[in-house]
Amino acid sequence: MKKGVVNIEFMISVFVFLVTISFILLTLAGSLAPLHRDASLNSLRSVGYQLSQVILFDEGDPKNWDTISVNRAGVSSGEKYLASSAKIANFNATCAANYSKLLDMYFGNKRLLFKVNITDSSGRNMLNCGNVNNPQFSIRRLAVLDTTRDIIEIEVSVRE
Amino acid sequence: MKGFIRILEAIISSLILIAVLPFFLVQPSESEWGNIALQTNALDTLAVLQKTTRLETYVKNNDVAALNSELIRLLPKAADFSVEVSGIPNPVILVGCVCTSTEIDDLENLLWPLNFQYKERQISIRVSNMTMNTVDPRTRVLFIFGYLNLTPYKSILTQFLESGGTIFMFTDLTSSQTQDGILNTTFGLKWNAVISSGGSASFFVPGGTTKISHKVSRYYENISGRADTGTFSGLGDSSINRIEIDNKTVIFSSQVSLVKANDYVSKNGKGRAIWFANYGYTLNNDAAQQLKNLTKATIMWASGENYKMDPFTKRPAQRFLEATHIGQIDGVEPFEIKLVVWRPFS
Repeated sequence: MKKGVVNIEFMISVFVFLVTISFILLTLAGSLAPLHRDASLNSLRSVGYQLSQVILFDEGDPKNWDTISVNRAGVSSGEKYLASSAKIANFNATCAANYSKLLDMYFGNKRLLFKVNITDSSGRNMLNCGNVNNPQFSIRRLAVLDTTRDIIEIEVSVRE
Repeated sequence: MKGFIRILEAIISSLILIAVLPFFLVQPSESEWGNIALQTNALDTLAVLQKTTRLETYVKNNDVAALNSELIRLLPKAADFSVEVSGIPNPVILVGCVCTSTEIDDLENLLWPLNFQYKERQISIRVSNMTMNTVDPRTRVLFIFGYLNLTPYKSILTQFLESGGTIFMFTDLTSSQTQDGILNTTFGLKWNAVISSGGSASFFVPGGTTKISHKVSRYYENISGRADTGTFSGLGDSSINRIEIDNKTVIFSSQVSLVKANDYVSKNGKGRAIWFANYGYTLNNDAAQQLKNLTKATIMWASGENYKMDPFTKRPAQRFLEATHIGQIDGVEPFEIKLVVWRPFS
């Protein structure tokens, strides 16, 4: 065989091999996007779940927080599953006055939005904080109100 | 020819690469967040019902309708559920008696009153007649008057025990009877000719809270008003009944057991068996009355201490989630409540 001259068979085999490699690389690259999307969604759901835990079980910081002194807002009265009606009122006031403070308090630098709805057993709205359209994750929690011993529903929704 | 083989090599290597490709492609699995939310909801539901003391009230009053309407309100609309209570005597104890009509009357008199209060709970014992071949599946206690060789009914008994039933044999025993293949296995009785019986009978270490005797002694104490440290006389024929004592002994006298129970007897961990030595149950003196109270207390344990609080029979879907909670009736009577939730249309 002369130098610089390549067999047609060699060319065909290299072509077949390169096509296969390209196909594999493109397929792998295409699967990365859904994986990343799922990971982001799971992370967001995890944040939503944690937020519901903080609101339901945390007394907040300081424990007798109000609209001005609040560092971290939670509606627990200190007893598990017992929500303080005074703290729910304070949460409402804080949200109306400075929603972005609550965002900063819960999420820091993450660009997330949340919504918290609290309704009593008759369906009366006790708290409506935030406005999230098409939430990516919602969770419904239950608690007992310290003043009336009524069972209340706390719905927490989040989205990016 | 050489070139053709080179093309073939390239095709084979390409096929190998394509074949291993799925190994690197992770298929996104179904999200478990829906289940997490449902289970969290079930746990929250039990916790808030306990917080408002409604859970204890529903269990205490066996108020199935109120508990179900509350759960329908609190759980997601797309979920179905079933409630199971364990650790306390069943509110309705269905006793199937393998006996004659006279013995049925005797059993009812022995357990009288059949409807009674226990720790603010209404308990009802219902006795009906049945044969070994016609065991009602709802029966919780299969009461057998006198010795009966149960070996021919082994498959029926296995099914009955696996459904959570209890076999209660009320008889004095001889050596050969305890070797029948059921009493020495399912009942866990062991004959020992050397040991001797005598004197009054009493609870076997009533203080040991993990033992069956402790549970029965507590029931006895509360229905009779007598201390569980008291003694019983007239129980069992002292010339026979050479059953060894072990951790499952409920009542003993000297070196022998006179009432012995066994639990978790079936392969699926359910089922109970009790052997109770005979006594003069037709007598009306105080000693006989205390033995009748003891029999009743044993029947309460034999109920299986496990029942459903569903308005009708429910069968959970293949994939279900559970939430459990420990409650207390009257501040001292602990029970476990299990809420099983599932999505019927998922």
